Amino acid sequence: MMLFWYTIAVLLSLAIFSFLWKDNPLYKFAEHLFVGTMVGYQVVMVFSQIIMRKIVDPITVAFDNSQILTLISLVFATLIGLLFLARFSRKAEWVSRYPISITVGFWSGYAIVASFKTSVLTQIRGTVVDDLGQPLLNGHLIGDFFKNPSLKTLDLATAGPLLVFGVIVVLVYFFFSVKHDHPIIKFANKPALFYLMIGFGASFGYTFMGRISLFIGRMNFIFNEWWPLFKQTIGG
Amino acid sequence: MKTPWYEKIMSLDKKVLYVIMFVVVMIPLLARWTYNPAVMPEVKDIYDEIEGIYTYNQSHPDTPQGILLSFDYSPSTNAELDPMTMSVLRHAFMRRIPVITWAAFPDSIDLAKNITTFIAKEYGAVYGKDFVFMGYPYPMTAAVIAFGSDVRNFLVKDFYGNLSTALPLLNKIYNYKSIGLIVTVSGTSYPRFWVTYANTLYGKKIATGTTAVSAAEFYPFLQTDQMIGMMGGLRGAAEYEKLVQALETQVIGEDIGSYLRNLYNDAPEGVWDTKIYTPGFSEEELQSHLSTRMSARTGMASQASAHFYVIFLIILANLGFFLSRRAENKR
Amino acid sequence: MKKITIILLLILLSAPFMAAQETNEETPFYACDLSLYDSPNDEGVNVELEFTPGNTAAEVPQYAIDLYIDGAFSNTIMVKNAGALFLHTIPVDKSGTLVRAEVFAYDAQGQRQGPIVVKEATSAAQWYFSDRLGAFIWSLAFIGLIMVLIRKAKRGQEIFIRRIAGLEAIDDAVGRATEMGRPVYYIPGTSVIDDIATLASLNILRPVAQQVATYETPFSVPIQDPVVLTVAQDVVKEAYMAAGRADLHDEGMVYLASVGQFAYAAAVNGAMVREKPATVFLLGMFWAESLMLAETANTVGAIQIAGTDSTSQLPFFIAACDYTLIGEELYAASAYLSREPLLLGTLKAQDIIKGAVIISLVLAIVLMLFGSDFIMRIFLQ
Repeated sequence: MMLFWYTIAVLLSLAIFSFLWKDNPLYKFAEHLFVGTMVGYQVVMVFSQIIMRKIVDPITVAFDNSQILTLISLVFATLIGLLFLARFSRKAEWVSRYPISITVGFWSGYAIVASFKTSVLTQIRGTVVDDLGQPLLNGHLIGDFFKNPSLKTLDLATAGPLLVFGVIVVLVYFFFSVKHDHPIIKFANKPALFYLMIGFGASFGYTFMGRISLFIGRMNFIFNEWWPLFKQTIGG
Repeated sequence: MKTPWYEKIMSLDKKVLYVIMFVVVMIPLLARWTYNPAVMPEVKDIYDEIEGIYTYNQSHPDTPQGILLSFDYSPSTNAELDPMTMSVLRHAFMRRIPVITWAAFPDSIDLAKNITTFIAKEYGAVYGKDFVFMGYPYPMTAAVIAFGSDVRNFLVKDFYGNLSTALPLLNKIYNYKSIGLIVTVSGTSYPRFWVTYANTLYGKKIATGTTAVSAAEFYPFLQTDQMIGMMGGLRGAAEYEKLVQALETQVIGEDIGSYLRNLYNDAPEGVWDTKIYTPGFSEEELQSHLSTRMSARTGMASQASAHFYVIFLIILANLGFFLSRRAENKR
Repeated sequence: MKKITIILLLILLSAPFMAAQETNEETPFYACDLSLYDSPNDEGVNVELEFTPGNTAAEVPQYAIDLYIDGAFSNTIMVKNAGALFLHTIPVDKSGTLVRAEVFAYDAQGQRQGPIVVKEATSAAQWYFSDRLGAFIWSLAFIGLIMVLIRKAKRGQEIFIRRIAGLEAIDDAVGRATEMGRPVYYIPGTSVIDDIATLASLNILRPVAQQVATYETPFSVPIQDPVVLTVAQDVVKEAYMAAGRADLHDEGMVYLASVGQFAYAAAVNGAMVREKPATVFLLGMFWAESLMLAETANTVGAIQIAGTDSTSQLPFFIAACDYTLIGEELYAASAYLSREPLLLGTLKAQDIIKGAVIISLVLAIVLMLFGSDFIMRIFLQ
């Protein structure tokens, strides 16, 4: 039985790969099968893991344990959630704005300070000091390099200043309130592009690695999992 | 006039390049070459952190720390990320660290469940005591916040329908105080979400495993210590796999096959819930368990040769470009 | 007699001193500095312990700190005497828990002496976490700026945004297509209408469609999402009417190519190979299909102007396209072209905050060079 399903998986993988040649009915069939299966699987999982686990089970447990306050809040929240379905009616569409505003309002408020701290303040801190609290523009490290010149001391001495300079010029590059012939913008333009391109180059290389890994994963499945099983089953 | 070699290269059909790429990837796979990666500090940090949890648990057996492993990826990226989750689970189960796992997407529920039970079986881990699988904690943000106080109020039942309050593991580990490390393995930007909520608001340590596509995005968080470590792409998986295999050799021995064959011999009845997994390995299963221990390193051999091929193509194409431009300027 | 009395008195008077000296030699002095206090900025579930040894390691190799939670013994922390400050966080279950710490010294013979110091503290929950003050002030400032600037833009007041370099290429690109008599393709990404990149792209679609209508160039807008389709159809129709060329507008210009990701890429690639557009706009949110679209456009000899905020697709666009709007430049281009108050106000607020970030970064770095972490503590907490 395992061989049967593995073989189906191999055939579907090859059908998708046939797109490399050109778009064809086999590829279209495999893609539609994938989309359809995914939707069906998700419907079942959403019912069992969300409707049952997050609505029915907590209400049942609260009822069994006589947790009245929990029960009331769960039922009330479920009713508010059901108001989302009003979107399907032109007349009653306005009702769905209540749960949307509650959801968006709560999550925006909860996320704003946390996101600001995570993505902005901590990152600015990380541009001033390292995780040990030492400043990134560190004269001692530069002095160490001149005392004991080596690749390691050069790396330690230059990493911090390069990072600080890069952050500042790239921030200036994306500053749109000043004319592009402003001296600071003009000065920052080329170095910022340099930093951006190095960053995108690294991302490009990493992305290529990611795509090849997926291909290797499929080939590994076909040649090192399906093929030995096929040989074993057919060979007896 | 004869077409110069560099113009022939520039006009090479893409299909030829695809065929050569196929050959370059297949040879190491079929020859089962492996790759011995040097372990990067960001991967070693995750390993050291989990070892730190093991050391802590040895001296605090009544108040152990656990690991929360979040399967934040769907099957489309399993080639890169499955080796990571398997290695982390092997490490945790080998060190008897309690593990809570869950899946971030509906289509990753089965994947998460299968991998968790697949690895748990290798170490005789008991469901409910050594590990639990919480299914699909929707919405994820609410689950992350719930862990700040008591996750059992939000995740009332586990994936199998057991009450959370009836699981011994969750009676000891139900909030962030008892979580030593959160490991998020993701193919999207989910690790950023974990850093924003679990790390910024609750001060929890986050380790991440990501696909290579997203890895570059998370280096700023590594630099500021918002993440304690990162396994980036298949290479990160190969490095962690290597560390865990060395530990396994130290703790269990060289012959993992014999260890697995004999693991459930003379085992007492009723310890393991057969709904979760059946104790004992068939030969087929044994081969599968042994081959997954090398999957990332086998893949990296093909990865390395693909990279060399692409570097060669880039050099060739650039050479062709500059030579044709020079020839055009001469004309 | 007198002499005997004086001698006896001397002995009596010196006895306490001799006794004291003996006591000093026989009664060692154990000292330490212990501080026990509620952890700041938490829900009352932690108590902090700071301990500094007062004796040398030779006198007291080890200290023991017994912890009592609400009167019941909890555990003992053994602290090796390294002469340095020892910090420990004591976790408790709830706010209002009384924690008592008793310090004992282990002398050179291993005998437990004490308790030498006893301290108590009660855990308390804080209503306000002061370590988030910096983030709160920044967030308020940002929200306030956005509201003020949106209001300013709505009133029609001038908000300066510099022209984005890639926008100049749009005029040239549309002109090129007109001269060559080949169509212009506009691909507004493959994401849903909620995505900011899609909204930015639809804002740029309007002036592009208007320009195309003015030049009477064939125009094609293949779409992947049905909701985006309805919006794009309205945008293009209005653009043609604004250009006074409603007669040139055709409903078939904006069409649903396919809903599936790669099916969409295949459909659009096929159309590009057949119709050979001279200009292709790839503006919006893209995923793995980005390079497929850019490569095909390159193969048919089209000039490509791309823009996305997806950091994983930007490298592909930069490598394959003639002009690329990087990240925020897409939103800036959208605000610049559409002059919508919401977009202008938000972009300007972002710029002001960015300026404040640059200034505080530079100030923090300069102050750190002189050993001061003032900016770090106050503004970057």
